[in-house]
Amino acid sequence: MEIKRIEKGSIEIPTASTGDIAFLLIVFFMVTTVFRAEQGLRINLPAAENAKKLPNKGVAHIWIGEDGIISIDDNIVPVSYVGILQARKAAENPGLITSVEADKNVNYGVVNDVFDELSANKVLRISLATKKRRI
Amino acid sequence: MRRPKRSESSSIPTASTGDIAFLLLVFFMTTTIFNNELGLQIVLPEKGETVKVKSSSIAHVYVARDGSVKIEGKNVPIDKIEDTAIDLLTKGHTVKADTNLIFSMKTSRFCKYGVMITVFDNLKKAFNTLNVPEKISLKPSPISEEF
Repeated sequence: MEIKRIEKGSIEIPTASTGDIAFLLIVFFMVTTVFRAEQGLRINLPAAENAKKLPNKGVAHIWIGEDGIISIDDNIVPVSYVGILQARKAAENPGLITSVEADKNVNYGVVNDVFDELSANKVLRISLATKKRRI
Repeated sequence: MRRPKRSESSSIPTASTGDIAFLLLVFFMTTTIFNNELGLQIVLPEKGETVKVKSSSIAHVYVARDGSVKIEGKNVPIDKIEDTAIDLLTKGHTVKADTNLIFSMKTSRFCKYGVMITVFDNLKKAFNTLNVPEKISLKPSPISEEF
């Protein structure tokens, strides 16, 4: 019996398109990248089931730490400044959502004062930041 | 004078574009943070804005400093908040929910924020279960009155 010899052609994986693939991925990551503008505070968020996803843009944050410290744009601010600072941001961007990232162990009084400040300055669209609770 | 004719084909070397692209790719991959912020949306009432509402269409919710919850004057355990709210919205028997009912939520200044969120979340859940628009209002809790 005769066994046919397998022809020895040069076997190569075509690599001409790797660059294109890489560029495609780059474009994807460039578009999806959001550079973190602020550091914020170290916060233990409460969990909720009905939390909705926030949009990528048009969100301003207020951090409220466990000890009642309030941080906006990485500056520690007194409560009385919160309203003015956020109102200024809201004036630039009318659809702005203010995300209040408060620690779950902070006293509600602090959060209440922040809400008071915001409503006094007509910043009314609020989101209470939470984690997702798995049902 | 005559210029010597160049016959060499001049081309930009493209062999390394792939490498450059991968380098950039790695950079963007490592710096990317996917946005996964979650939150409970709410619209605060404007200060000074008073809307007259029939007292019968308000359900009062109190969250005390020890985390106990009172709905319409009755103590309600945390895991029963949703059921109680559904009962109030449907008036116990009717299938159709009363869409005019507003939950007015008041929280003690010394209550933990996490407890308040749990209560708020449970109220929201009741509205979502019945598929009616949410009507939850956060009442300010001044320092002067403590309960």
